[in-house]
Amino acid sequence: MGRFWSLLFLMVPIVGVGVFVWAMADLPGMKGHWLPENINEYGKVIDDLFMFILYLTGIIFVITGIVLFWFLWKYDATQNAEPVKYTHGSHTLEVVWSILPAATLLFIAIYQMNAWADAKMRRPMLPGPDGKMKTADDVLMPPLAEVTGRQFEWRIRYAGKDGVLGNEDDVSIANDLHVPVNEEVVLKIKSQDVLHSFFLPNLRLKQDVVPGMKQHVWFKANRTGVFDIVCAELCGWGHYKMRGRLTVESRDDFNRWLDLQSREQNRAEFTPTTGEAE
Amino acid sequence: MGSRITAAASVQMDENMRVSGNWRLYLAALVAAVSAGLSGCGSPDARFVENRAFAHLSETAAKYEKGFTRQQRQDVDNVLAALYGTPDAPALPALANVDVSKVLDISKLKLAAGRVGSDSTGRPRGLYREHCAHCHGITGDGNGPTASFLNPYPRDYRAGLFKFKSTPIGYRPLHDDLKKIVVEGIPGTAMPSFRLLSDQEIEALVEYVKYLAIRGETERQFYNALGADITETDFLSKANPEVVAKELAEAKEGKAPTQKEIDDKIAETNPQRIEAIKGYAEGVFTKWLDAVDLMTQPAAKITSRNDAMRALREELSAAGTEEKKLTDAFLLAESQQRGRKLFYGTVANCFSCHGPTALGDGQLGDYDRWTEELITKKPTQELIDEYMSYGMPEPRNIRPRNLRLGVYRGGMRPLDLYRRVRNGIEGTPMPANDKLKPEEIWHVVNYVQSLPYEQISNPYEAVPENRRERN
Repeated sequence: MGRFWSLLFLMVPIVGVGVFVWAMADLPGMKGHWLPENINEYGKVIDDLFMFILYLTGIIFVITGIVLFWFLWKYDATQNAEPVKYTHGSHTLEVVWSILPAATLLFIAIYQMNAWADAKMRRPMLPGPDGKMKTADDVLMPPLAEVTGRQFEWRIRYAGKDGVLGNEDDVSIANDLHVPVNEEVVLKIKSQDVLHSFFLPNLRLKQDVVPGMKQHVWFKANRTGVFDIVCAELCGWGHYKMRGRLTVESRDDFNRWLDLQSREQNRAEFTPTTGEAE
Repeated sequence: MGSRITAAASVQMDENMRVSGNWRLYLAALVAAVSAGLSGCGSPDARFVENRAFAHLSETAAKYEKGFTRQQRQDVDNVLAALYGTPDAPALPALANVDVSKVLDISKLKLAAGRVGSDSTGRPRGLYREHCAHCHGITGDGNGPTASFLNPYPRDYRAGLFKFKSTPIGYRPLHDDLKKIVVEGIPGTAMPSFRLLSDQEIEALVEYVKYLAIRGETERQFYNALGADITETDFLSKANPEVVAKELAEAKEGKAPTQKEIDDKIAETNPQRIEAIKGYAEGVFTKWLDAVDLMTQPAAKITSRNDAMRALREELSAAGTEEKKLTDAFLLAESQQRGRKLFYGTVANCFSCHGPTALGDGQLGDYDRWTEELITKKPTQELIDEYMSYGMPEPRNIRPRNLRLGVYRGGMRPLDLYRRVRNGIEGTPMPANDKLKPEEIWHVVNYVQSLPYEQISNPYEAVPENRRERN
């Protein structure tokens, strides 16, 4: 076989990088395989982090692949009659390859802290009674809707006109999430049965939904359109069925839609089409 | 010295590697062979399974101690296959007295039949098996692989009975009733919403569910007929061309019969018997048409909630209540109060099942009708075991709804609740109520709708959120 193996291992970084470039360039055969369009105001920092880590690990990956190839090539048994030599190793080298990754990790850890806090801890606020933001009496922005994951659907309960969840004017509908564009949106998410994960790929938002836990997610969509909601945690046989639809639309359209759903939900008369025979 | 040991060790290592390398090679070859074999074979064609539990009920009812013979049950299966086809190739019977196409659309339901996949134009196929079969079963017997984990069990379509519909008890549901269930799901049960499927796909699924329900009910009719008239059952087998062809082939020692010979042979069979068999199927189809007929009749008088509230207002006004007091909120409160009285009264009698606190704990020992049918209201363990051995799922008691949760299986619109109260729920102890006037039913609906929001129901965390709470 000779140097076949070394050439084979050389293909790993080449093909690996090739596939990524192919997907990122959105060329035929790999269309739509790269990240979906980001429509979240807060999503860019996630993408930046992702790309930073991808390039960093990509470079290391290529270097490692080439070094591996070089060793295989150079010390191939058929080409070398010399017996194996053992060395104690290099102290300097070990120090270098311990400190470099540690420093890199530390950098990533610090770099992402703000992104994490924005995504998971700093829930948007509303001005309190004094009408001013950034004062002590600011209140947490109430959720627009509550999303309940259950095997196998997303049940969505909108706070309705009064903006308060849990009263008569709430509107319930399965798998159909509508949100207004260019507005901070807070969603309350919970699970009725098992672990699910509420995943909005276009908003770079993913949160495990844990039974018994009260959790909130937030985002600010900056583009109208129809996008996917998926479950990102294997939750049972019908996991693949847990698809939802996210519709981002203007405030007016959203209000109109919610009003329509509310009226349908409160329907209390028969129409000729239901042919109600008394 | 050191280098000699190293050399010896390396020889040993080489030896080890060669052995293990060979072993791995064999393993890899084995895995390749097995996976090639598996992908080549594929799974056998899906088959409808017989309704063994109901067959047993029929043979018991007929006091036919030995039970139906294998051949007799096979006959029923064959006739069903001749009339309705197979899971991969569904068909509809040609019936003289009923227009089958008014009930089922064969072109639509074919989209839902067969294996999961898509045809050359990318149109999906096998939708029923993709979305429904793992709970409801290939046959629609509510006994798919995941069914036993669910409570309540998935619907067994074969009795033709569906709970949440606009038609009264005893009538089949409308197409749109089933469609509503597929689109919205049934909150409080394992039935999810399929809202995101295209309309074409949902239509196909609904048609297929109707098809399975009709096929299943025809099967029940056949077993009843078999139990009622055991001697004539041989006619069943002769009506099926495939069986006739097989018999002819056997008679001619393996030579395939011509189409004419088969047709002649079928023509020889007792035409009355074939008529009777088709008559059972016609009866089943007719029920679905009857429901449409009933629901398209012009209604004599329709009372909406607004009508009921207007009547209440007039009544109170006539009784001398000040006009300015009669606000919408006042009227609603008054209506809820009346609903409450009815809830605890003897005419509506809601509390006897739903419990004095409406928590659904009034009665806990009942079964639904499809369970009761097999094992009676007060079954012995022996009877339960007997039917479970014939494939009945382990019986579970049916629980009245807890009305304080705000979860309504048949839909949360006031209209849906009105229908539940007036029409009852098919197959459950929830009865239809024809003693309540429409206005009174609306009062009950208003009261029931207010229950989840009473302080005592504490439906929601009314506790203010902790500002410092993370996320």
